[in-house]
Amino acid sequence: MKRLLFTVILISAAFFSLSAQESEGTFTAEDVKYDSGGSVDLAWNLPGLEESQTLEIYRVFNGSEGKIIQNKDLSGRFTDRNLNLKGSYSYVLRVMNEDGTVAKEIAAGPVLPVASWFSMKRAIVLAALIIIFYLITHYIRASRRGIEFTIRKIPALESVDEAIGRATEMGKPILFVPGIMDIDDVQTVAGIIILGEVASKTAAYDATLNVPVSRSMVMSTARETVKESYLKAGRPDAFNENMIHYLTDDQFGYVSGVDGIMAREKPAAIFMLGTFYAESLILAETGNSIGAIQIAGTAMPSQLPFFIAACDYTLIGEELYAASAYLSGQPHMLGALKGQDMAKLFIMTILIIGTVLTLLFPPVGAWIINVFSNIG
Amino acid sequence: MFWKRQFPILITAFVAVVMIAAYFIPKPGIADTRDNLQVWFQIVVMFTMILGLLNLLFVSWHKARKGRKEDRFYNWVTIFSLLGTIVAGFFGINSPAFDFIFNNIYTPLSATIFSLLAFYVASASFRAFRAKSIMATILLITAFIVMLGRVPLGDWISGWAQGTSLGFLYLPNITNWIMEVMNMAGQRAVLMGAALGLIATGIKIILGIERSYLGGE
Repeated sequence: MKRLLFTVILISAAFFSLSAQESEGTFTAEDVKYDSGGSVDLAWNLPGLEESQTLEIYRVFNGSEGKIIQNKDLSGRFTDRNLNLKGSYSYVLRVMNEDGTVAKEIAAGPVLPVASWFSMKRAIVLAALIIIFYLITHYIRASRRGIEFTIRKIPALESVDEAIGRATEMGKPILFVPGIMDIDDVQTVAGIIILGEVASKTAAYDATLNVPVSRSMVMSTARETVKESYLKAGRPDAFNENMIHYLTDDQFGYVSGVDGIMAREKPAAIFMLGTFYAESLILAETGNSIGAIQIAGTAMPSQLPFFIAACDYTLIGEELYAASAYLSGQPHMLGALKGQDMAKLFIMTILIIGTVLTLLFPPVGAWIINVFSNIG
Repeated sequence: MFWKRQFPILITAFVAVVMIAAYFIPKPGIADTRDNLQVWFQIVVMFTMILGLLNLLFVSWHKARKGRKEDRFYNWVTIFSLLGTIVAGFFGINSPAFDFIFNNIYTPLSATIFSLLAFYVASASFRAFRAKSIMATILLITAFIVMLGRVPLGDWISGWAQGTSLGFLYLPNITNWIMEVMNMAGQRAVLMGAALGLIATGIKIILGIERSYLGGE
């Protein structure tokens, strides 16, 4: 009986203490989870705040106090950022009367603003990456086991031989433009990979290759690639490193330089493969005006219509990345391409499921949108 | 062979793994490593820039002396422009000489090249919009509606439909629908395919399957 009475008293005390705290207001300080550290989330709720009173929040670090917030909001949230990761922070909330005296004071903390080991909001990206990685490596292994994959005809790549052959017959040079971005752009890398294949053919046909570049790093990489292609074709003597030459980093300076080459040398075949911006149409139209056969490719959606309008063949988006596998025909490269297609099928399935769920159950749709918008 | 083949692949794989890890792990140490690698990239770029500059001078000098007679003049222009700008740069980027080159030569020339776009858009559109087939005709009609919906004439022609039950006939509304639904869907499809291609190329480079950019198979 005594024990029961004691328990009832304890529960009542806890209940009244909580009610009292609620009427006084709450103030919490918590480390922001799954971030790079240095941030603390503050939240307050002061139901009894009078109109004449002001709320002030102070940050306490190493014994010194600094005001970070002053307003009249009854409740609110604030993230204190750019904090020192090696120290712990306390916070003091003060309700100030009009005459400057402290009406109420609530403390929170100490909090250590630590960095976490994994950004949970990006977990979905990691999951997608693992699935895509698995699919691609799975099909590469399958191709190595001897399973054969076919690839649909890509007219732009089928016509590479035709373009180089035409230039050789006409005794005119072949111009290769690898875009205006540096080697850290994957489209530029894709362009350089195709350049290797084109160089193999120009070496075999003894055609003249001209590669003006807008980045010196691309120049060094392209030289290595072309040199290797000439070596493999058994024509190291035909390689001249000045066939890959630097013009300028400036976008329109580069365009005028390449346009000048087109107008003066009148190449019979022009390849434009890489990242292009506003210069795409200027280059493609100049190439068109000299009657060259033009093969372009980029993954920039805004530039594709220009290439489609002005060039003979265009590699659209992913075709640019598939070109290497297509031209080399190596089984493991085709396997990677198959894996890529399966990943696309997976994404399409997810898209359809997501769309159906969003249409049938709007709260699920809102949750999906929330998950994706929080990736950051 | 190790230094020419395996070593660059190892560096590439290491850098790629750090970059990917830094995206998922918010620990400052990894972010610092990522930032340092990016600074290293900039340093390497700066060094190769000297290579590029020397190459431009060398190639232009060679062409100015031994190139086609009618083209020699352009190479001399390149050499003098390059050296002139470098000399002006030594006086500081705020010096009158450098300011003069920037404001009176560089800016007008860039603007001139950029303005060529207007004429090229017209000539490319003229070719693309020829109604040679059903698809080309659809393209022509769509382009016509979009262009009309973007100019005041479209509003003037179809303004009567605005705010009525026939509001869907208001040309700016049709244009917005074409751009935000049909055009956006196409663009997103291209972007998704391109993003997957990018990931696949990245994986192939990290695993050392794609070595063509190093001059390998």
